[in-house]
Amino acid sequence: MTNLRILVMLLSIAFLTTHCKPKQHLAKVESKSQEFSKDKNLSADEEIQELIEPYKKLTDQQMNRVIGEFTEEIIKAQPESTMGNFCADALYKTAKDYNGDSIAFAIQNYGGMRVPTIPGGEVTRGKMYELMPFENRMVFLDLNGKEVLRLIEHITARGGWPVSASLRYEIYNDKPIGIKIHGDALEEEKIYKIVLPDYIANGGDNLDFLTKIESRKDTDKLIRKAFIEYILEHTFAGIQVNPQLDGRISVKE
Amino acid sequence: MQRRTFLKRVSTASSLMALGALPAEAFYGAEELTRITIMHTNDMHSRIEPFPMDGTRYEGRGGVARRAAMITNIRKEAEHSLLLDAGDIFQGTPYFNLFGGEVEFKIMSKMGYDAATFGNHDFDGGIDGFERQMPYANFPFVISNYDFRNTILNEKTKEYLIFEKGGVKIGLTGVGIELKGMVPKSLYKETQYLDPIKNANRVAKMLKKELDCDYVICLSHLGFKYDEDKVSDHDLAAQSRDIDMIIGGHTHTFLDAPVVVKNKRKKPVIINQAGWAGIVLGRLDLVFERNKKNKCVTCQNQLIG
Ligand SMILES: [Zn+2]
Repeated sequence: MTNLRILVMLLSIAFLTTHCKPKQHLAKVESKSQEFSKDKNLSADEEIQELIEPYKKLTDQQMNRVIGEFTEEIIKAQPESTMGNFCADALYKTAKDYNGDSIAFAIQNYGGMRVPTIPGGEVTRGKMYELMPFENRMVFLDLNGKEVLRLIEHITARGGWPVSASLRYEIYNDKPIGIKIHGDALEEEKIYKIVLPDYIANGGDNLDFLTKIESRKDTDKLIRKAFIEYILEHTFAGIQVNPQLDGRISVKE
Repeated sequence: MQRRTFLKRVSTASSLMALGALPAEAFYGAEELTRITIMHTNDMHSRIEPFPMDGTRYEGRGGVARRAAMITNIRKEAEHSLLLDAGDIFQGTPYFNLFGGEVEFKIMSKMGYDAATFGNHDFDGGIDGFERQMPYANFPFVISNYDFRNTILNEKTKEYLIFEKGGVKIGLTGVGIELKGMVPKSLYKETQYLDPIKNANRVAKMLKKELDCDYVICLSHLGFKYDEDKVSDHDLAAQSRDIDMIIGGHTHTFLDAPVVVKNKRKKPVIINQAGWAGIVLGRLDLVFERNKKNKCVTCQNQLIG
């Protein structure tokens, strides 16, 4: 082939590929999302089942142990809920046992509770892993009254987070009012020892101001362990865990 | 057109030409339809087994073994398919606490996932923990707005991927949510969060204009839509130019049908999400018409049926 012929050929191919290039037009989109678990005829994939089996055995060994009982189903909700009260009261109790000092209150971030409900009746260790899968640990912070107010304003703006029974307040126009700690009104200059997960103390959920609190004590105590021990204490005492709504956070119209 | 792509095309065409003088119509016949099935999940949160039968909301639903069976069934019918995940693979059941993500990755590899992006909880075992589990994943991780250069994940993720399916070139990118305030820094370390809209647009433009993609999908862990001022899939769609589909996550949104948002060019962007925990397998079938005309003959205004 002469150079000229090659050139002509290349040019014509170039023309073809650019000018007559076929286009892929999106003609239609069909939505076919499906909940497969509703398909009764669908059996499990055996290879996947085999892959899971050894892990499942180990998991079941560790997680299926019954640690106690809930009287009724506990539910995650805002501003106050039975699940939230369980978590915050368990944390408060563990903190008191751990520290001995008088604890003003405990607080748990709402998003940290990872199941919507836990049924009444027997509760397993695994269920507590589902509720609190994170390796969050217990931290003590000394806050003055102003800082406590700022924290409560934050959690109120978020719709209300779990707090222990020692803290009570009302929500009015999305702001906290009538804050009482162990029955006493909040004092601006007073120092309060609070307990919370390190996730929040480290500035989680944009609570950056908490990272600047100087008086802080970190512990090795896992939040999940606090929950498990709280249930076990009830079990050893021969009673069920029965979290109740007690109006610690209420909405004022 | 980029030089390399051009040369590649020329060489294919030349070799075909050499077989005999083929008319252009032989290359590019009349309308030709290609169906591509996109399957997707998000926020699996270590849900290996179905939810236990304990009277709670999702009892008996989900479970990877049955999902795998369904994916196999779909693949039997669908000639061309992709299986994608939009992040938060990790965290939520003891399987993650005990095995650190190994089980999740092994299962996804066996199911034949083509790609996944990062969710905030995928950092829960630390960025080092994620890196340790990566050998169990035989699929790539795609993300355009996390700069991992000063971390252990440097050069271990992709900014984009390209899949050729039945003559259709599909570009894929991914975006992740701002980690600060959501994940402890001790876990994500020196990962730099970059503007997701800017970066997804940058990569999508490259995929369309330089890498010749027909269609661009963005995996997103930004979240579906927010009341507050926080960047979401809706924002990404509205402020995009070259993204055709967003497969979302993070907000655990169950949708009866995908949502369509107009982009900056007034072109529709499809947003879909599949709840969470692997309860639903998201599926969108894309039908492409290939022709050399400027107009699409069988197009139905992208009607979603
Ligand atoms: Zn997420």
